[in-house]
Amino acid sequence: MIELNDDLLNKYIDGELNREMMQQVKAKLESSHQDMMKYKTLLSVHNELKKMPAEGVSSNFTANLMLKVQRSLKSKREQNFFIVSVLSLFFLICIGIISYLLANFIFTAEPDSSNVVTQLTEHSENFIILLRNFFSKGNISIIGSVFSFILLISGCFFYDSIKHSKQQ
Amino acid sequence: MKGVSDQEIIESVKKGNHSDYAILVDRYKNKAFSMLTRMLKNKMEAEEVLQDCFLKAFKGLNNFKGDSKFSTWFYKIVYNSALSRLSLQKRKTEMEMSSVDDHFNLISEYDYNLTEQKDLSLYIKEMVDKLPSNYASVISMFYLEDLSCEEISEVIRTSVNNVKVMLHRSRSALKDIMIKNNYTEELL
Repeated sequence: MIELNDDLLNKYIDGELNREMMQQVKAKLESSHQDMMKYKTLLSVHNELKKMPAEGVSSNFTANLMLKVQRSLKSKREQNFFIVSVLSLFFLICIGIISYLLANFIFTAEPDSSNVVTQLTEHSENFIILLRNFFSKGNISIIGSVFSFILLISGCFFYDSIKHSKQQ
Repeated sequence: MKGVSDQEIIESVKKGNHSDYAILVDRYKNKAFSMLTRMLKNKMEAEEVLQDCFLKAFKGLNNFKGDSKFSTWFYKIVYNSALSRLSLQKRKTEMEMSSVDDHFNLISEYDYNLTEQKDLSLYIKEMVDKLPSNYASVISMFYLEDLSCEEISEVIRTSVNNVKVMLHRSRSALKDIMIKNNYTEELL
């Protein structure tokens, strides 16, 4: 005869034993009142746990949550808008510079000029000289400061918007 | 909305129908809340953590590929969030002390002895609430959320055998308390 323990009884309830073991456990249960009591108690625990109701959240839980979801979506949109705005500004400045250079080239080009390549090279050289002068020792610190300032302001606004969305 | 599967709702939310997420929330909120309440032993805290879990799940929906069931994925978030909260409150010692390898005895641990007889289901519920966090979470997932032992092992990142051991120990502990408090007489 087998010795019944909790592990075996639990496996018997869960149907994890093979047919032979199942029959042995069944026979043992029928012969022992003590084991039958243990088994029935364990089975009632199992059945009661199955019937156990779920706890309920507060009545406005879903509404509050969906509000938070909407806010998170809104803040994400705002962040995206901010990033797109900064990138657009940067892109517009680049387009402006290129347009200026092109316009400069078109308006200063001689109408009867036969060699466009030569003119283009001249303008490129002029532009490089212009850039060299622009980024000269005197100007570089000013440009760096302005650029850092713009970055700082952008970062500050970005941080503020994230903080604001988290607070919400 | 009962016939709509989780996957269909997720697809709808991904397409931009964000309000459909409320269906998923209503579907899982009470079961997940029960699990959190039993793990954190505090209803207010459980509700707060649950809100964060649903928000995390919403933000991560695009990463959910549907390889596993939504419930398994979501309960993983819930379980991990509860663990984070517990470790934040330095309650982790309780979890470590009641690991599968340790001796687990609900009677001596809580010295729960009722002098008056209560309704059996209420009694069982009270006892489950007193189980250590990891055992209570396994009981909740198995009986309330109807997750299989394999799914639970995926959620709590342990072996299937460990899950079964935890489940059996919890039931045995509850049985011992019932015997101690003479609840068996009603059954026989």
